Amino acid sequence: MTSSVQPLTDPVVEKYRAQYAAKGSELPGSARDWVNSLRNQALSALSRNGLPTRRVESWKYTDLRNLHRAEFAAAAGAEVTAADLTPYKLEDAYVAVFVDGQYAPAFSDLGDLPEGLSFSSMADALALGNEELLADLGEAVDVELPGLGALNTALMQDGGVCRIADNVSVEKPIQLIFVSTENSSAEIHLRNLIGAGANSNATVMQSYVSLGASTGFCNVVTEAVLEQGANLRNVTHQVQSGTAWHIGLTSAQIKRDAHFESFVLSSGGRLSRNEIRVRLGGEGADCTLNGIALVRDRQHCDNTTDVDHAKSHCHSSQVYKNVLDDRSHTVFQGRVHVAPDAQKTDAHQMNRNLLLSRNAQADSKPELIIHADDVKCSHGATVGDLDQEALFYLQSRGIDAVTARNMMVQAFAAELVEAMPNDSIRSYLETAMSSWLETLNSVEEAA
Amino acid sequence: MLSIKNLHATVHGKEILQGVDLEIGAGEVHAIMGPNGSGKSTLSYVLSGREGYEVTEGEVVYNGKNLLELEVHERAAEGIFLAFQYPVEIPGVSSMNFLRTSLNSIRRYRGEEEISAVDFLKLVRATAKSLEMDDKLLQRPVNVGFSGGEKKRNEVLQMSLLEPSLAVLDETDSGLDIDALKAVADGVNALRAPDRSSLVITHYQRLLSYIVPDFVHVLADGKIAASGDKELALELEKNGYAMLGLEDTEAA
Ligand SMILES: Nc1ncnc2c1ncn2[C@@H]1O[C@H](COP(=O)(O)OP(=O)(O)OP(=O)(O)O)[C@@H](O)[C@H]1O
Ligand SMILES: [Mg+2]
Repeated sequence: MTSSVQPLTDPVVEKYRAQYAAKGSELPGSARDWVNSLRNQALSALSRNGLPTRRVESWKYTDLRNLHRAEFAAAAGAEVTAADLTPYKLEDAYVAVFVDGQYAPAFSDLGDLPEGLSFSSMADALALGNEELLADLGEAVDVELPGLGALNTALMQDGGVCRIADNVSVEKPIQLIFVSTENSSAEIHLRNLIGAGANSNATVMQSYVSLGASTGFCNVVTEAVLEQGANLRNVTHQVQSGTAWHIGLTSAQIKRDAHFESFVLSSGGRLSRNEIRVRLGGEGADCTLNGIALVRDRQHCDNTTDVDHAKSHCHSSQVYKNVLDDRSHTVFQGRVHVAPDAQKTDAHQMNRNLLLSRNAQADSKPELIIHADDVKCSHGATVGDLDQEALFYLQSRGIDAVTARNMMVQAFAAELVEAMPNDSIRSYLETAMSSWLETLNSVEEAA
Repeated sequence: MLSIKNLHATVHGKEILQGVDLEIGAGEVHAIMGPNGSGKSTLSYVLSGREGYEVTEGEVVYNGKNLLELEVHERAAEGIFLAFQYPVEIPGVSSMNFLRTSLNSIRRYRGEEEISAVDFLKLVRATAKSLEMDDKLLQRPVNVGFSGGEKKRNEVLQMSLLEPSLAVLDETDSGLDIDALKAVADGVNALRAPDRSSLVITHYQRLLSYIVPDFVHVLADGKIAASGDKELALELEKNGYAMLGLEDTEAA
């Protein structure tokens, strides 16, 4: 593939190169050769390939030009209190808090990690050169692919590193909360790394929240490596302010008989993208990728997935549901690639869109590339509005129009939340959905 | 209780009700019969305030209030209940959540206290039992996968829970087996009280031998073409609408 950007003259790339040249020595791990070399390789990939434009197929519906035009300042570092964070903390979880892209142990609650679970901030791990904890760093992310993965690798500042030892089941979820402080306009490159040992079992939740309005940019990469028989659930809740930017890439390597489950609830950001790339690299591996986007105003939310069925007897299942109001825009691009010898593949994908406004737009693009013959693959997409008959039925039983509408929206999306086995995450997500509904337009305004 | 005067209503620009006059007093049971397409369901939708059913002339006064000014949910809270001819399936909305939200919405509107989860469960179980309805049905989303008869019983269950002062039953008897018909009629009769009225839309005399009406009306071409007592229903059953000079579209 030839790239249509002229890499060396792209001013945005130049800006980042200059930034690295000036500030690279302040980035964590700059005393370690292997860290510098990882960053340098990524920077040269970025220089060669440029930043993604809409001419690149996987970025066809998401335009980053306004993001690149925006100006970002150094982290504002406004005051945060523990009480500000309470609404976002899971009950009964190990919690690590990051404020404007920096690990904040004072707000974190990692007191007594169970045996077999290790946690470190990415900044500390890089600075200490903890090669054991970071053994998989860069393993799952291909910096040559179009996206912001290379930029992230070059400039990564902080994030969470979790390692679950072989055969260890971590009962409580591990939550990483990334907070943007009020009025923050920082550009933050977060890098998370989750290593799930053989036959281990764990749930990680990532929450991206703004305390007040923020115009910052969060570029986050989460790498996950699942060893044989591992079970990892990764739940993401992105509820940054409606003026913020969020570009997320989750890249997972799934080995034999391992199971990866991802759930993304997005309702924040003027522009957000959750890209999930999964490589089912061992027989019997499987992944479930579900997501809900709740958008309004002129919000743009892109969910792009890429599942690579590299081996036989693997399963993948994807259900993405979007609820759109006002002039919002959602994108679902789901790509499934089945390798020639990936026989007995089972791959299903569904995207459903509920339009609460005539002016909203939902783009849906499935792409199945199948090179094996003994496979079961399906995909589908629907776009619809609320069932007026059902609304009337509810109202005729004394339920007001707004409550009736909210019940119908809940009904549309709730099955994905109800399926969440962890009680505290399920109730967290239910609350998040209700809060979004409460701030929706009244029915008259919406009509 | 309900006073309908010269009611005209259009659906998609087509005039369906063409001057309906009807007075329903407290405690009375009125039956409405009439050929297919004569406007019976339209009347029930106009009373409950369905969007798209536009009143172009006339008035409806309910317990001293101008009914036509009220929102759909307000009419329900004021005590009007419509048992749908075709109850709607609502995937994803749990029956129990629906019933509880409904009951509590109406209680709140009336300034009453909300019902507790425990009391609600007891009430639903007892009501379902009295209607000989399997309460396992209520573990499903609203009406989803219910048989025709089960849907009708579910309408009566809702009516019994909400205790309306005016129940409008739109062909709640069609598609019911004998036992279900009796259960439905028992449900309606259980609600009979000096301050409660019902409007029973039906094609069949059969239901009216269980729910004995005080008045029977025939709606034809968007107007009340004839009114009488329960004998009128018996005569119609025997002679068809032709006896009123109307075309008989019923194969009764
Ligand atoms: N949404 C609609 N659009 C156009 N015409 C409609 C609509 N709803 C009802 N009508 C028409 O209005 C007329 C009256 O319909 P309605 O359902 O009120 O009849 P009904 O008396 O209840 O008949 P049935 O005994 O078959 O239930 C019919 O001619 C019907 O086709
Ligand atoms: Mg009808």
